[in-house]
Amino acid sequence: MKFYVNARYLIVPFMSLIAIAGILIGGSFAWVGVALFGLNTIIDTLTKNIHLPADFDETGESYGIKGFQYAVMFLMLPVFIVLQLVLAYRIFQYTSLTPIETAAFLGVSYEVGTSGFNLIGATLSSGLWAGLGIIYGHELSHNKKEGFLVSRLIMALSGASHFTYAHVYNHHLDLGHEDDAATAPRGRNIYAHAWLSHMGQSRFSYNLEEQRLSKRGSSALNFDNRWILGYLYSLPSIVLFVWAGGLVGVAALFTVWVVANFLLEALNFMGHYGLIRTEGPVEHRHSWDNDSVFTSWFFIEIGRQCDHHVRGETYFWELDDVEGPNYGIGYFSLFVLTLIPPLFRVYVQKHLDNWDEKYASRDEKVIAAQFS
Amino acid sequence: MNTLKAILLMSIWTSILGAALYFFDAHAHYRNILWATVIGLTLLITHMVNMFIYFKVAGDKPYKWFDK
Repeated sequence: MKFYVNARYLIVPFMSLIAIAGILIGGSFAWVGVALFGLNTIIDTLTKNIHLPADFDETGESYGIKGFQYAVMFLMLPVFIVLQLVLAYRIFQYTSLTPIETAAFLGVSYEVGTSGFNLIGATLSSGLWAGLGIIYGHELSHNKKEGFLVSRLIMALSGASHFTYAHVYNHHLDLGHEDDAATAPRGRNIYAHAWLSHMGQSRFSYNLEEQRLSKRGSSALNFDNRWILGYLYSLPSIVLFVWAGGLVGVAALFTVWVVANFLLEALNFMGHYGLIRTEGPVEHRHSWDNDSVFTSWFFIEIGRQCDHHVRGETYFWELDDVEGPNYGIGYFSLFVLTLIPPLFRVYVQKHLDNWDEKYASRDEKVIAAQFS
Repeated sequence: MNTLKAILLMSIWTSILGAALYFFDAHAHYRNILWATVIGLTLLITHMVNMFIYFKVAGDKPYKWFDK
């Protein structure tokens, strides 16, 4: 049981390595990361009706092994660094006009050089898996020790180091309110949300630091400013891609950041779209759960938002179904719907109506009515 | 309106920095690690200033759920 509970959360590490291998092998294998994303969407849709509770032994102890799960999360930092390195390697070959030919290493044939088309595949694969890897940045942001720094570094690979502070000190405290940029109000589409949420969280992080430094009598323009420091953590990535490919490298890194941050904001969008909190503590009803089996295992239980937002420092493998609002489908399936805003609005309306009727407080209903 | 103004200012600022990099032949020297570092730092500062422009010009309005 212990093995099963811990091994089931290794889907992303395993698939990230496959995506890296695909870029290294080259040719059409550069698209493997994109293909895996499509495959996951199919699996998620097919298993949407399977919902499993968290697993505990007869004494109520979780089967999760903290040391193992943390080791995996910490190890994802070098994995994501390697993901950027292999993409930079392909960009270097492309901009150096390396001839495309087949070679072999330890019996495995791979393509030297790359076409523009396959470079696009490698870039999209990197962006998608860097974005999916943000789940580790999220989980570690709730760690008060060295995990917090690892979270900042993982997020910095996608130019979003500000997320770590904004997530804990803004999103978790101001959830369901217009003060939380990561909560999407009714009527907002995912594209507008991605922009507003990303900028809003960075803005929160900047203001937090400006106020903190101001109390100390220091200027915001200071290397003690953790907003500035967070962006500086991204500098090695930028230098690497500039060096590897000049303008092509910058365009590729820009694409990786846009795709990765879009996925991050899609998770925020799906987790809280349209939900409202007026006052008092965050309760289960202020989040949407997405706990179909594949979503749970793939996203290391990030879909158990209802429990997570009430018990923010609980390890992901201990989060459970709390019978909160639930879309009934997994993140991959729902993500596809969000990409077509009119379709998403039709789908979500019945869930919002249900929330208004069964979960909302009187004051929350008043605000909900203003949206319609 | 403020958002459009912010995006316009961000575009102008980015264009100025882009033109400056071109003027200094950055596109011809990026494989030199020193040049790559300076270009990278310039791009990062451009990005951070863009964020700052957005914070200050767009303000709170894009985040308000209702017009008051």
